[in-house]
Amino acid sequence: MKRNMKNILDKKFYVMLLGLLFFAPACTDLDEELFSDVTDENFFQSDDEFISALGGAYSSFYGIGNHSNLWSSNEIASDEMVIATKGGDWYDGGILLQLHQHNWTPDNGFFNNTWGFLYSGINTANRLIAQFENIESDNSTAYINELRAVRAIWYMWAMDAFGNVPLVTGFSDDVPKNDSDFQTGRTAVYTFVETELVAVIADLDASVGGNAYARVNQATAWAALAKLYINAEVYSGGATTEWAKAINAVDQVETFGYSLEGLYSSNFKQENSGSTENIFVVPYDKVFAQGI
Amino acid sequence: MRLRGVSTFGANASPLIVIDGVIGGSLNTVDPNDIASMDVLKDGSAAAIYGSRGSAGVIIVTTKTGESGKTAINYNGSVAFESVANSIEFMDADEYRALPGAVDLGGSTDWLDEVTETGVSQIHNISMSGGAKSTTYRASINVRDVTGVGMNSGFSQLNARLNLSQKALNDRLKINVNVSATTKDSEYGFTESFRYAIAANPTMSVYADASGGGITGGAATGGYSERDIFDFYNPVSISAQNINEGTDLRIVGGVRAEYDFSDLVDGLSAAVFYGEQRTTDERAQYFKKSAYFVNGRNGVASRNWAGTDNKIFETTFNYNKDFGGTNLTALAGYSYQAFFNEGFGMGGSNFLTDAFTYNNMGASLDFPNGLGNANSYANSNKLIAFFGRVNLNISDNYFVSASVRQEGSTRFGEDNKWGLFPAVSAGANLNNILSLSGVDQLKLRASFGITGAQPGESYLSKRRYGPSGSFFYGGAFVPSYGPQSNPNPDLKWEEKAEVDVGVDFSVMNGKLSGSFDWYQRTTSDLLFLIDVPVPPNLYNQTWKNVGEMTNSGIEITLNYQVVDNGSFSYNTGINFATFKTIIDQLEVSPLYQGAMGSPGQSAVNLARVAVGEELGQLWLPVYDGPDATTGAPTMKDLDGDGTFCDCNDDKQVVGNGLPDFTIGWNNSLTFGNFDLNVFFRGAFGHDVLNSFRGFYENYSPTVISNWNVVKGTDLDPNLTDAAVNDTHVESADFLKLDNATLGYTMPVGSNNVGFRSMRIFVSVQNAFVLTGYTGIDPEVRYLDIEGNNALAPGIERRNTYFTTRTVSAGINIGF
Repeated sequence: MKRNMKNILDKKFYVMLLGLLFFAPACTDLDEELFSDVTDENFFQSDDEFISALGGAYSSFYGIGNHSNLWSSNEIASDEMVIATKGGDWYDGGILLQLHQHNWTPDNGFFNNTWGFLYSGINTANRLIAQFENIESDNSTAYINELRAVRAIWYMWAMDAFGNVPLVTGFSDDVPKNDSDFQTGRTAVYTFVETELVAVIADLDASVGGNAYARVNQATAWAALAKLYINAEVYSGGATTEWAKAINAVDQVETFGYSLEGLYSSNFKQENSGSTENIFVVPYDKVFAQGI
Repeated sequence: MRLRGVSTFGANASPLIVIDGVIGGSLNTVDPNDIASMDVLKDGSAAAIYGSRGSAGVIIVTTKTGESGKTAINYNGSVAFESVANSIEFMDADEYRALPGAVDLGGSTDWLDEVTETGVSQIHNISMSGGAKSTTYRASINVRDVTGVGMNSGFSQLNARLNLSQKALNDRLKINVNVSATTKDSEYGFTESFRYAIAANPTMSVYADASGGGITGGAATGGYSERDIFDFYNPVSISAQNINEGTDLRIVGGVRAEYDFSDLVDGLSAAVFYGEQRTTDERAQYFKKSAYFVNGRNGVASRNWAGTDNKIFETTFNYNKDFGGTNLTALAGYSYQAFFNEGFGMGGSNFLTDAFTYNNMGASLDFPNGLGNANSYANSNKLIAFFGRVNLNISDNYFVSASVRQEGSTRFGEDNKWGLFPAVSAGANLNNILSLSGVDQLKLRASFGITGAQPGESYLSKRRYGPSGSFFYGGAFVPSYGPQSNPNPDLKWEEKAEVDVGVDFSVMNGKLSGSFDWYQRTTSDLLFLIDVPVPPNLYNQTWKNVGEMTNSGIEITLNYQVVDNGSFSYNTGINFATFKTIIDQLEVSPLYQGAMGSPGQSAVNLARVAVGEELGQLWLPVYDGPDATTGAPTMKDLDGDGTFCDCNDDKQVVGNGLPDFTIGWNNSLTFGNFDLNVFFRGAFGHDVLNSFRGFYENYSPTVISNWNVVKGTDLDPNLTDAAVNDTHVESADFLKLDNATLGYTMPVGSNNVGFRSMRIFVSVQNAFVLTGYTGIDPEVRYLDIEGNNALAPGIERRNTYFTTRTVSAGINIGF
């Protein structure tokens, strides 16, 4: 009898031990834990965070000074700039020569870089517009108007560089993959840029300098329109010229107090924030924004 | 280390190391003297139970344990001398001076010689082991003190290991504890000093008391000569003036408890294993104020710390029972692995004095000026698995096994975390079944298994935001936050399906034995960071499942006992392996990978990866001689459009970086008390692009005025520009004498010295290499070291500096 008891106890002990071994640790939780990044779930909580997010639209502009990008492909392909080969140095598989001689091939990386630079800017603006539309913030509408103007400027550059570029204005993960789905012709992009700028211009910041420095304000939008109208004949494929509108846009810019500097080179001084000629700037700083 | 060639695009193609049950260990934490056995699992079925981390094969290391009632003390000691065996030959000072446009700086320096020396190392290992009836133990400690071949490099390492095992409860409970700790203090030297030494102007002197004659010198450069040219610094100055050192700690602990439940169910046992591995790496650098290498920065210091913590918990149930002549073993288990990585660092420059080196970071004026940098990070991931396996052994004639592992990783998107990885295998002992005479063993085997692989980074499925510069808001700079990558919530397991058919045999009373294997691995949903269009993406690269490839090959192993007559024996063994990798599918095809580099060739890709083609293709233009007037290299118009377009279309396959076959040939002889082991290793059918020649084997004024010219039969004085082409791709077949060891075992039984055993040996590693390759090392480059890119194999980069040869002598004593 006693021996039987022990057997039963033993069995209970075993079964408990078995159960403990198998079930206690059987954790199947595979959620990711983040430490040094934030996500949609824990970002966009405070006004300061909205402002930082808006910064994404402007930090894209810092690529403007990078080599092998929009600036280089525009300049080297014109007679404004030459990058000379020194022996084999700076030959780089002929990519720079191709730009000089206008016989580039599809695998010349400058154009992919330019495209990526422009559409990163466009996509960031699209993303932020979509995100601000979903966020209850006092400043949402103002930010969205500003972002529409920013996006219009990116599109102006893209249309200037590539012509019939895909016109994407939404931001979602299920955007169709084919560029041609969005290609509506260069003139349509031209019209889009004009319409967008005209639509938001009155709602943009009317001030100059101070808080509006390095932001897209009314003067920036008028300046962009001026550039757009000057080239209207090319952008519309010869269908139209907009000289009167161009003059008007330039006049509008002048009403904000901008004027040509007496000394042209003073626009390019290291400390050029006092320039009366620079309308929209990408401010570089040794500590905060080293840029290239 | 690599098993069976290439079967993933990921850089992590090394086999999984399992040390005493701790998965994912490093062989650096085990002294070879402490290893009892190493088992290599290559085929998919064998590795399947280890899950995703064993996708590239598994090496199981079991360390030595003590034996009951047998106390032993062993000492192993050796001293080794390591020296430069081979580098690439550039012009010496006199030859260089004769070149047109040479910049004669008046000296004569062998730069590689200046920055290298014979490295001397000492290794000592003491172990003790023993045990009573239910307790066994083994403890060992080993010390390595190594002076590197490179100037101011080397390390000293201390490693200790303890294995304890204890039985209790009538031997039903068995507990094993393994602990090992390693500390390593290293001086790393500077690889840049080798890089600049190899192609340096040989007429430049090491030191210069003052500036002048094209040389900057004097106190400002610490008395070293410097030149103000692109991408060059005095190699000696870099290594001699600056500090690059660090300390690594590795602590690994594991406890395993096994309980025999045969009272409850006959043949049932269960085991619990918990292991943890912690590593911390500290790095510290200081560049002196006079270091021209960081000219203008006034002293640069940095400190960095990185730590990892891997925990593993496993429970398994084992069932083992004989049913007549049939043995059944079954296993079911659960595995939980958690990984945590973290680190921090800081760097700053502009010091008043060199006296602090990196020990007083606050003295850097970069911090008050807002220019210092500080960073920290942390990330984690988990792998959770349920697994089971059944083995049937029918009368030692037939063997069948089936296993399944359901594995989940945090690194995939919500719907793709779990993968199911089955495997089956079967074998038949034909000599038993057919009663073959004259055959000792003839075993036929076949297996099929699927293993998974996860990406090397966490959080790829999530849209993450982080600081991305600053922007001007309200008259001041504020931080700008943006996405860190393109999220891919659809990312899923890379799967490798492997078929293996093999035969093991042994004939002539075991004198001749061997095995033959054929395998085919198809890896689908290959994980790769691939270029994607913008829009719709925010960034131009995303981690995606991009394609499929098939890798197949045969492996033959033969061992033959040529002689064994007591006083003299000779065994020889050879292993032979082939493999070939074909791309079956690729999201973007062709892909061009592996940029040649600066100066002047950074837009030139060297490798092509395309659907239906082999992996490893070197894709280059075909050289057509120097242009008669300019001296520039001309290339053939391959696409027939009348001109050479200098684009990927006017190139062709000019070699393959992966070998047709590899061999290993081992010979062991004993003669009385002497033993000799000689191991040759070779790879055949692969090509290597010699980057040094692609840049420096020409009379380019840039090369001559700034650097030096590679010597070689192809050097053409009429060629005055560098452009990589088919002539720089060389066949790199090689056979190496990898290791030769001669030992002598003292006859200790007959004297009274008290030693149980004593052996002395001398050994040489990398004694010689037979090859036609003119570069530094003809070894197969499975990965392009620039970017750890598996898609651009076969490139010898300019950061390969030299190979080394090691000669060592040592003694093993048992008490």
